[in-house]
Amino acid sequence: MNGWEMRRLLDLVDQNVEENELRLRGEILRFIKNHEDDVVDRLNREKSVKIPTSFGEFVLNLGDLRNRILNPIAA
Amino acid sequence: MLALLLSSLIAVYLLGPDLVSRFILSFQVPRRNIVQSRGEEVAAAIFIAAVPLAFAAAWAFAGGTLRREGGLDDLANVFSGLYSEKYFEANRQTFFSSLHAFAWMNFSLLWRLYLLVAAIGLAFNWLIKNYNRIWNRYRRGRLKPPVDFLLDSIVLPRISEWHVLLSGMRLPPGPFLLVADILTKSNTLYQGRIQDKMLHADGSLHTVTLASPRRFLREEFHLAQAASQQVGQVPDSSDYWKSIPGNLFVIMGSDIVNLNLKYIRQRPMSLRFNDSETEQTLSRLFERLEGTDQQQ
Repeated sequence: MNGWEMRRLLDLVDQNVEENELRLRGEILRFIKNHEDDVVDRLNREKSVKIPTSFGEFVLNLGDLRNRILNPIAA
Repeated sequence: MLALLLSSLIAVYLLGPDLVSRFILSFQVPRRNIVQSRGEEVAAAIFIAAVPLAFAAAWAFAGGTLRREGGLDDLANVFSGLYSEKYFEANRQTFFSSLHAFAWMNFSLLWRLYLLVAAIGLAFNWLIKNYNRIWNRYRRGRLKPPVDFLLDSIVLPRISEWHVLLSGMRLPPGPFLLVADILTKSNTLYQGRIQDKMLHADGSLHTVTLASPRRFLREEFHLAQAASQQVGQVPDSSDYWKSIPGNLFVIMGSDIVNLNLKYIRQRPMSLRFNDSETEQTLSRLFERLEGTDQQQ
């Protein structure tokens, strides 16, 4: 593999990042929609909720959510 | 004696710089395993030595050191004395005087050569270490083509493919996780966050360490699939992962059949996307939380 072939591999990594971001976001949103009451309850009680996805468990923190809504960073 | 001297010169001028450059590059990351024939290895060693040697010679000439130490006559005297015993007997005094100059000429070239090789090796290490920062800074600007050329032609070929794949050297800014599904030779599927990796000296994969590891319960899933055909309800594969206690789950590279790598932003919901559904869902969730806060 020369430098340009390695570069193509790295371009695949770039695509991988974008595709996984979309998939993971979709899975998290689906979970939130399907278990909204439970998510709200847990965020109120424990300030965080564990969201199972095919990538593993992700923790959604109340602070992060507040930050995300009030101070969004453009993608 | 002449053969011995020539062998020594080849060793210090060709093999030495190659060895030193490999050693310094290994500080940062193991080199790629490039399978080369003997001829290709020698050609690569000559090329690695030739460029810094040319600069070292120019440096020594420009400073006048090389001319001060000796000249072509001294080289001729040394090689003639080593080649012919008659010449050596007839010019013993001149030979030793020229040998002294010859040694100093080599010394003045060699310390410059090794210094340049070390400096170039350290510069490569810096480029490898800062690849992500450099790439992210210049990937959209006017300097993208020359920076790409520099990184693609000089840096990438010197790095193990496994380091490229299993490190964050080419990710956008922000904290990322690297999640892997790993199928082993025993047909077991593991998943976890790649915590660490170990590479062999030749750049091949030795071990992968997973954090939050879990194992896919394949048999149970297949049984559930078979049962579901009668009931008509498809089982969700995400329910068939069993967490493995511990945070240092090491899988030997030799046991791995294939790897499915997934690069994920550590906080996947932190960015705002042009997607009204996401925004609506999160805003609704936030409003409900704020509403509960106010009620309390």
